[in-house]
Amino acid sequence: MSTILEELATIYSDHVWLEVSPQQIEKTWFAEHDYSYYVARWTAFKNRLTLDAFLVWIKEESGIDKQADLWPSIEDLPSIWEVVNGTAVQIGKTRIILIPNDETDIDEFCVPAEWVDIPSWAGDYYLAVQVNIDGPNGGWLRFWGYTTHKKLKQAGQFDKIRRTYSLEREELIEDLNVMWVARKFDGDEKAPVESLPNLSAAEAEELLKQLGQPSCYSPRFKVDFEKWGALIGNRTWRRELYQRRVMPQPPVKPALELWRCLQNDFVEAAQAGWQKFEEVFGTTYENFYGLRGIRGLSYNREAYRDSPGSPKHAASVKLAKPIDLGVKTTKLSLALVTVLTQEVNQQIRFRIQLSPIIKSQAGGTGSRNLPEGLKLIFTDESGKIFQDVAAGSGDRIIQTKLFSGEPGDRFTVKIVLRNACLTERFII
Amino acid sequence: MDEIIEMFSTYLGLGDSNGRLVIRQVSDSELATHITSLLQFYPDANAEFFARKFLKDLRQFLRSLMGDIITLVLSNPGANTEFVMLLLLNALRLCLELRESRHLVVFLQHIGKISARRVYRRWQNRLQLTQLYTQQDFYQIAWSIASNPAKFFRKFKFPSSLTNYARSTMERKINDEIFPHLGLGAHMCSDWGLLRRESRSFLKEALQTRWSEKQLIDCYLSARDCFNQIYAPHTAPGSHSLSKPTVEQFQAMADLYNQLVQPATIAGSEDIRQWLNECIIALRLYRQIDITSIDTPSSSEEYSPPFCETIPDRPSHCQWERLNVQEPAEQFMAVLPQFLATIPENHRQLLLLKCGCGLSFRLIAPFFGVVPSTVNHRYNTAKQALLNQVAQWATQMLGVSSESYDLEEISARLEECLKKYYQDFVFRSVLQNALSLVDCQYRTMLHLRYFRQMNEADIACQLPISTQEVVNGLATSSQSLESAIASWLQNHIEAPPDLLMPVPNWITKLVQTLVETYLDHNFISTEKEKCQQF
Repeated sequence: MSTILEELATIYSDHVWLEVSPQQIEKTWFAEHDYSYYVARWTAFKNRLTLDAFLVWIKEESGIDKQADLWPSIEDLPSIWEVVNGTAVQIGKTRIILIPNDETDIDEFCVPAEWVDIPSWAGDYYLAVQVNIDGPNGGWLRFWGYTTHKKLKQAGQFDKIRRTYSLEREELIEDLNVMWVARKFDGDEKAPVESLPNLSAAEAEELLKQLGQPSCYSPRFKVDFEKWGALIGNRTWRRELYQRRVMPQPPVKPALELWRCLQNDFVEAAQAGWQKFEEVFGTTYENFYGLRGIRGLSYNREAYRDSPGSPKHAASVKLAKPIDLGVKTTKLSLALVTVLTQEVNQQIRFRIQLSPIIKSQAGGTGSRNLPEGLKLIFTDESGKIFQDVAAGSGDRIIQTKLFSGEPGDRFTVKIVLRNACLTERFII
Repeated sequence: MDEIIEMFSTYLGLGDSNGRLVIRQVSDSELATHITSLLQFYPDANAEFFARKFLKDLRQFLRSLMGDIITLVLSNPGANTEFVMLLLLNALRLCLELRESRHLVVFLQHIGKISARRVYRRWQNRLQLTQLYTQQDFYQIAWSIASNPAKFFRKFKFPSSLTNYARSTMERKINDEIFPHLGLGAHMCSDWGLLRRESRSFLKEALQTRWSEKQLIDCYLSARDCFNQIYAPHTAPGSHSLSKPTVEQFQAMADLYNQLVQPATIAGSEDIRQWLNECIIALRLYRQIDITSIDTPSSSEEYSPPFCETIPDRPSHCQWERLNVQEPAEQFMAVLPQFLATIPENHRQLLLLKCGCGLSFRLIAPFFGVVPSTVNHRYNTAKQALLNQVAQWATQMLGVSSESYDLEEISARLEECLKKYYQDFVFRSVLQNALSLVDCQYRTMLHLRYFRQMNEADIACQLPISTQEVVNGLATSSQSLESAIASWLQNHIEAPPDLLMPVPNWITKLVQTLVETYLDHNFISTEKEKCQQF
């Protein structure tokens, strides 16, 4: 540590002073580049420097013996830094929010409202970090105080334009040892956080379209906070937002409207690449109702009982869609199959299957077995996984269980093989 | 009693003495009369008592005054911003003129003198800094801070020690004042770099020195907020110089401003550019603010006496310059040894070096043959262990909660106690005995130099001997005390000999500190008698 920093550490003995080398600064700067505007990149740079230094300090100097984990995960950090300053670290049950700032003075501590008012984001403690990297000999970080969620909510000045909670320097606790001890007492340091309204998938999609366009400042100011908080509080949507802002988006495929198919309206289905089952597989049902090789369904009789054509069904449809995962395997042709039935009580039930297309009619020698590890993942509109089926060795077909739903319900099916992923969307 | 009268009625300033700037003391007769009369009611009270009393009275006055202002504003529906500002300015003036406020100003001046000296001594080796500041500058910074006690004590909470709060806050504020000039701040930035780096609160202060209209200031601040949302360096860090925002960026700032603020008149990019330029000008001027001495003649006169001569003069009753150190809570001191006994021996030795001797982690590390970060780790472990025990004790015995802000109070008391405990330990283990072996005349010189803060020439006048004899006497006596402490430390913590011989600078400072701030009252009484005999 340089002499002057040592002197500062003696004068401000409660603060934690960490030196940062020019090499660290340069390495971190060039590592953080996938952001859609300059301020986001700078935010990511400051936070990464702070986080790396903090994790090392926790381990080597803090005096506590707990492991620190990132929240929610290291992969999620870019999606957070793209839109707001701050990093969350979890130590046991305690969540600490690091808020780095590169201003000259430390008169005021500002925390973005996201870290206080989004229920899943709110922390227990908020750590103020001053970042200085302007010298030719590197820079330093200064952890100069902390406060609690309760203090921010009850005593913080809320700026509704900047959407921040602020405290003056004197209102922070400058000795971090107090935080570590307070943590052990497990005291009541968090104020109640009101839940945010639920967003439907349609509303979320609308927001993603609006906010997903790259812009030169954070999208957090473009909509009211309740909607914004609900959107980025959801991990899937937040990641989607990041993807759209940072990476070019392929055109969104329309969802297959199953109810139309039940009414013999196949126009849109055909446009989306769906065909009648027989057109893809021929007239054989070997792949479907074989006694072996069906994963995802434990009892074959159920498959027959629920098969189209059985008396209790008012209408039934089987559609298939050849899919290309882009995997370079000459013998693999796959098709996604939708088995759809409408019962006499109008309830719609469906199952999704994945099967190889045996090119037996053409005299080919296509593989009968699915590649091991091929996955079929069924999720609802919010991204929640309802079933995840993987092909094992020798499997010829994988399928979901029989689901039912209400008209208008949306779901998604993903087919994943190693790094390849294909998504199909459906509306019941 | 004389010390208390002096501490609350004798202003400090700088005056010329044979071409040198020295501290002058000017007594305020009104304040002296008032404090003397209070002492008749409270004969056993100390400085802490009176300071707390004056602060309580000041706060009561302020509350009452604000209540009157609010009543006045509400009863005048047509009152505009200027009217309210005028009321507040008058209130501030009344507050500063209040006798209790003036007592506190004097009190803080005395605190500030000691704090300024400490801070200056600490930074003395930084050549760059002493080229920027002299010790007299540090005094003036401290006295400037002392001039508004309502603001100074804004965050003070009873029943904490007011004197300790004043000392630590004064030192921190002096350090904060010089911090930007240590080559660590943004004072070498380009205009856009400066605008980006300065804090919002600092910018607000800067704007308030140029503009009084709140709406205008808010407009500039909002423009700057939008600037910070859109503008950031996009090349590798390390440069002070940032380029001007592009046309597109100015337009984006205008769009964001209009969206957030929703002004009556839509702002354009040119408006934003102009407002940001005003912010930059305000920051530049505020950073390099001209300081005019209070002794400068007023514009209408070619010559006027120094400011301190405008205050009625009366002979000073000062015999001692003394800083009252508030004794830490007795309960804490009583239980501290049993808590210390539970932590490892090497942690206790570390605390002795850190709290008792005032060493940094870097200087402590060689004593244990480890790196400074390991010392830091052990110190944090020890402190957390002690704080945990003290907090549990305080929760059970005193009913204190275990939430962060209550633990902070406990931690502050613990630090005071540790410092007092270990300094007392060093003093009683070695220094007291070592002092008794020093020649009487030399002991007197030490006392006058480090306790009363007199310089060699003044000591020579008092004794009376030559200045050179004083210098030699101080050197000889200091060396014997330093050797005694070094020898004791070597035995007590089994330190490597090369760390303590030759005697390092920090032991020299430790001797000065112990004589200056840690006092055995019996010793002082005895010395006082001996001085009078001498």
